[in-house]
Amino acid sequence: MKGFLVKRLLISVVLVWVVATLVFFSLHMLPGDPALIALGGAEANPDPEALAAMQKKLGLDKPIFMQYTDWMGKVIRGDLGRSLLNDRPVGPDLRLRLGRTLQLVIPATILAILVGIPMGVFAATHRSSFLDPLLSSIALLGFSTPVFVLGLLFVWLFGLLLQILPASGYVAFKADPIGFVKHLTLPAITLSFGMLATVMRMTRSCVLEQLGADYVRTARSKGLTYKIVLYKHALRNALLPVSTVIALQIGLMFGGSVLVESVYNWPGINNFLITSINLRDYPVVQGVLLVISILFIGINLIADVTYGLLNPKVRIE
Amino acid sequence: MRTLLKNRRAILCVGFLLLVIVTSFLVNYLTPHNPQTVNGDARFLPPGKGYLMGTDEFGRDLFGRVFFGAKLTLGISFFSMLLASVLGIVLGIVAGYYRGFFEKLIMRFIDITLCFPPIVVAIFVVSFFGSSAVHLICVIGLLYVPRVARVVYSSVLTVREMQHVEASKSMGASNLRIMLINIFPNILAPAVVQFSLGMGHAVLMESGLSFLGLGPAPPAITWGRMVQQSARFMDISYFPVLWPSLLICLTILAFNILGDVLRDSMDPRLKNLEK
Repeated sequence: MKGFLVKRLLISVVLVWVVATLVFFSLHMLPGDPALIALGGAEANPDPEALAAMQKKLGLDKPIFMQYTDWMGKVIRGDLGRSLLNDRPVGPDLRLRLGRTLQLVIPATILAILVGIPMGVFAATHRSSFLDPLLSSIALLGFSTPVFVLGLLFVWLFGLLLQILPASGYVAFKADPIGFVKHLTLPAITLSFGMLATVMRMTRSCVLEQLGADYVRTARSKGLTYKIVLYKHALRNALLPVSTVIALQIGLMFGGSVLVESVYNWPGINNFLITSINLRDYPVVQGVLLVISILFIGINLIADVTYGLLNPKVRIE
Repeated sequence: MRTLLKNRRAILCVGFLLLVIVTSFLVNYLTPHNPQTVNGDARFLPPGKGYLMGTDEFGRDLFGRVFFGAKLTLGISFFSMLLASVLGIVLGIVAGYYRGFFEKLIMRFIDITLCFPPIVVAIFVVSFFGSSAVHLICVIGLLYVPRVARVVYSSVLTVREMQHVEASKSMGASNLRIMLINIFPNILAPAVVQFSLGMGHAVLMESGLSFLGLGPAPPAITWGRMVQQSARFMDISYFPVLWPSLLICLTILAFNILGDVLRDSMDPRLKNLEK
């Protein structure tokens, strides 16, 4: 088991390095001189001396390999450089924006788990009732509806028609806790929908599979009640694959949050990325891409490891 | 294929998709309005006389726009999946058949591409290199290659151990011949399933990018762009948002159901369960 963990961890570290390198070089191959952007772009027509000075300040006069090692060394120490546009350090801004995205992703995940698993169990145990196909159809709809369509539907329904929840914007929790929750409700529900559908479908099929297993029949025949067999035996075993799916889905949720943040004007990390791409603010783009990728790799690592912990077959390979 | 025709859900999905495609090609004959013509007197009309689906904030005919948009959205999705399928099948077969070095190389490459959330990569690439239809096809297609390659690869691993492969080998068939004649037809089924599911995914990606304003620039019409542009006016009229949204959802739904049905009809285990 230790070997498995170490191997996975090493692979992830190598992946982070590869990703960081890719991010660095892909941004440097793009057209556009960062020094020029920092001085207001080509329209500002800065004089050549100022341009040369800025290039020197940003380290652009050095050979690309030196720039790469400089950048890497700083990144390892946690220094992501400064924004080209307002010269603010990237790190603190990034942390603030990432925090806001997590404020969206974490409640959405909790919601999806708390609603998805019971619904899946319910669907599995009520197969003869009309509710099972109904729930399955809702799940299929959940897969097929893009988050921005769902988001706009909620904005229209709750924000414009019923006017019970704000349609967009963000309020800091410290400033106004109730306002924060109000602003959070619609985006979090929107974001959780895809994961909810997946968790529900997975729970349903896993519980069904377990209920058909021999040990369930044995447990029933020795006189245990249906409820105990369902919750203590079948559900516990069914939750193993479900937990892996949940971990993988959290990764996907970061992708979904791009659109949710856009619909609800939520000032998270993805909005930060889009605005800085549009402004060609390279250090910020580098930082955001790096952070998102590391998060993604970390989540996949956790998914892998939990799967390995729960499923001995994987460990041996 | 025969089971597919018997399945009512599959017929419904294929029928719907064909309807959308045919309408998108005939749209010039079905509506007297040019989808680009701005008409200040006909803004935000509800569906009804003259305008089958109503008009948007510029008084443009929504029926025409929605089905014009279908052509671009579905076209981009189709060609991106074609690209993904070709590359994915080639990589998957090579990795699964030769094993060893190729396998490691391709699988590591796939691992790396899976390290980024696809939509973030797409945003990055499109916003720096431009958002023409060709760019979108390449980005969406290339991002889907790993999924196709993985599915193909795992099927190849089972197919390559089959006796007919061994028989061909013993008769002295070249590797290329074995891959084309013995392996390719056997992995086609899962590849087709992936194609159908991938179409749903591609429509999702394309409309998502267009919604962020990163799709083909106007005057090009795509569903995502239509939703984005009219979302601000939802309090005045929701029809300009409703129609493209509805078509996005139904199209993705149809491709997903079709993929599920195809997969079920190819999986013998499930067939026995139903009987």
